Amino acid sequence: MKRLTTPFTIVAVLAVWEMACRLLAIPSYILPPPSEIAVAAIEFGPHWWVSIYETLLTVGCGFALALGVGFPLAVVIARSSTAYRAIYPLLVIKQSTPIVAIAPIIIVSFGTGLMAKALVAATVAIFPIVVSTATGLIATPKEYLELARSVHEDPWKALIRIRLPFAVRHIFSGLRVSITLAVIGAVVAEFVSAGRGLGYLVYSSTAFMRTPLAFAALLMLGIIGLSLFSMVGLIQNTFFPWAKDMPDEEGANA
Amino acid sequence: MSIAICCDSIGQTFRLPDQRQIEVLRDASFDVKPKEFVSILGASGSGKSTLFRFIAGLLKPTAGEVRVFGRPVAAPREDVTLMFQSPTLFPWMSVLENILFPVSYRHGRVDAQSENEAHALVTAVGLAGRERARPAELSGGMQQRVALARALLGQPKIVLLDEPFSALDEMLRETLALDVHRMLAAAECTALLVTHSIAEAALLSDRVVVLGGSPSCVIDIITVDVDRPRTTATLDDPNYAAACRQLRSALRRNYTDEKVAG
Ligand SMILES: Nc1ncnc2c1ncn2[C@@H]1O[C@H](COP(=O)(O)OP(=O)(O)OP(=O)(O)O)[C@@H](O)[C@H]1O
Ligand SMILES: [Mg+2]
Repeated sequence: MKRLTTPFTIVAVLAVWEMACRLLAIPSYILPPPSEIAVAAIEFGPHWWVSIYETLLTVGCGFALALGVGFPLAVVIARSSTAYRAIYPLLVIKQSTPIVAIAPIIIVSFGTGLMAKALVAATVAIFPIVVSTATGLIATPKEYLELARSVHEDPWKALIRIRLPFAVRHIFSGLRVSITLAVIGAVVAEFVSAGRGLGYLVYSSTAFMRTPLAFAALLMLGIIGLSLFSMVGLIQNTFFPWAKDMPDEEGANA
Repeated sequence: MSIAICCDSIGQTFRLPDQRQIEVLRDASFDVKPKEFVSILGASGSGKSTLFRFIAGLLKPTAGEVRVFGRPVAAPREDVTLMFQSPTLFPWMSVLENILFPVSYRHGRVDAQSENEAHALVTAVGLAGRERARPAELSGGMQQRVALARALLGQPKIVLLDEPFSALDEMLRETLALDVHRMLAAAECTALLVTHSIAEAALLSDRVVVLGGSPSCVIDIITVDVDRPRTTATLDDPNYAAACRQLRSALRRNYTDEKVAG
């Protein structure tokens, strides 16, 4: 029964939506009924692939960029409290500035190409990677580190063999948030740069009153976000199955 | 070289984050001879684990000096192993990998001899067949035995065991303790054990160091005059019973003193 709750809710919402649109005679450029969205989605046909590919490319490059910069940054922050005090406030300032405000500036400076769009996506996606990775590295129980030190004194070895595995759970929870933020960043970049992709599709089809298609694109973005989110979880469970039942920060399997 | 471990007037004052200072140990001195089995008995919080961290080279005392085989301890030594009070097993490693951790971490790889030794130790601590298990799949007592096996790996000259049997049932505790005692004796290994059990201290030890007072110091060193090998028959030895009585009264005296003082 429990497994049916979610599908049932979705079906119920769609049914109410459809009924409301028809009974209240809402114009479809304001709120299209699900049936019209479905028709628009089917009519758009193979064009989907171009848009999806374009957006995924931006998301992928942005995410990779965020990972490539964020991960070393987290290591530096975790290794030195000076770096922590220097970098952390900057990150927080960056994160509390809305991406829609930053994106136009990046696009102006770097153009409307893939690099610029990936940069926008990376700018939003980097924060959770840095914060959760650094948190995990710092939260490594003292006893794990003492045990390692009692065998061999080498901070870098401890970082790679002790702190990093311990931080896996933190890192992945950061990655899950980060990948969904990368999707948001990609969409914002497409809005601003008026290129291709699903974000641009939403933008252009609303401009031309093709609201059903805008809704379909929105739905597609949701599906992409959810799939990427689940994929990160899948990777964790496949390659790091033990990370689920890690002891919490304080006690080393007490 | 007739002294394995020498604690020479050890004192330790911790500075807390709020700048308060607590003096845990003051002027604690005792020696352990090679191949000797010595237990440390003392109230909770009396600084036993702290003392182990000095000997293991993880911490420097704020006063006094610890020497191992005549050399002041400046860093962890390869021939001294420490079994922590909590199992401290890495969740991402199997039982076998955890036991082999000291070898793999030090050398970056595991040689066949260590691997054979690890397998033998798994059997010795009664975990044969669980080599591939993850720590999360083990009970607290099983985890403790993995940690014990890890401390025994690599023929250390000195092992420091911090309450190694505390999570085990009474029967297993007795059996395993005697097994470990025999293994250590055969390997001519020096052993220092922290325990809260008078019976366990008397059963295994040649001498028992009793910590007491606040800050703690050595208030008594009691010799258990029973020959090796220690077996369950030791429990019926009149000298064993005498040692238990002495230990109890030393602890009791300290306990009531502190009650009166505090
Ligand atoms: N790093 C530290 N910072 C501050 N105080 C500490 C630190 N380590 C230990 N202490 C204090 O030193 C005292 C002795 O601690 P220790 O762990 O050595 O006791 P113990 O004799 O092993 O106790 P138990 O039998 O409960 O294990 C305690 O009061 C503890 O709070
Ligand atoms: Mg202790």
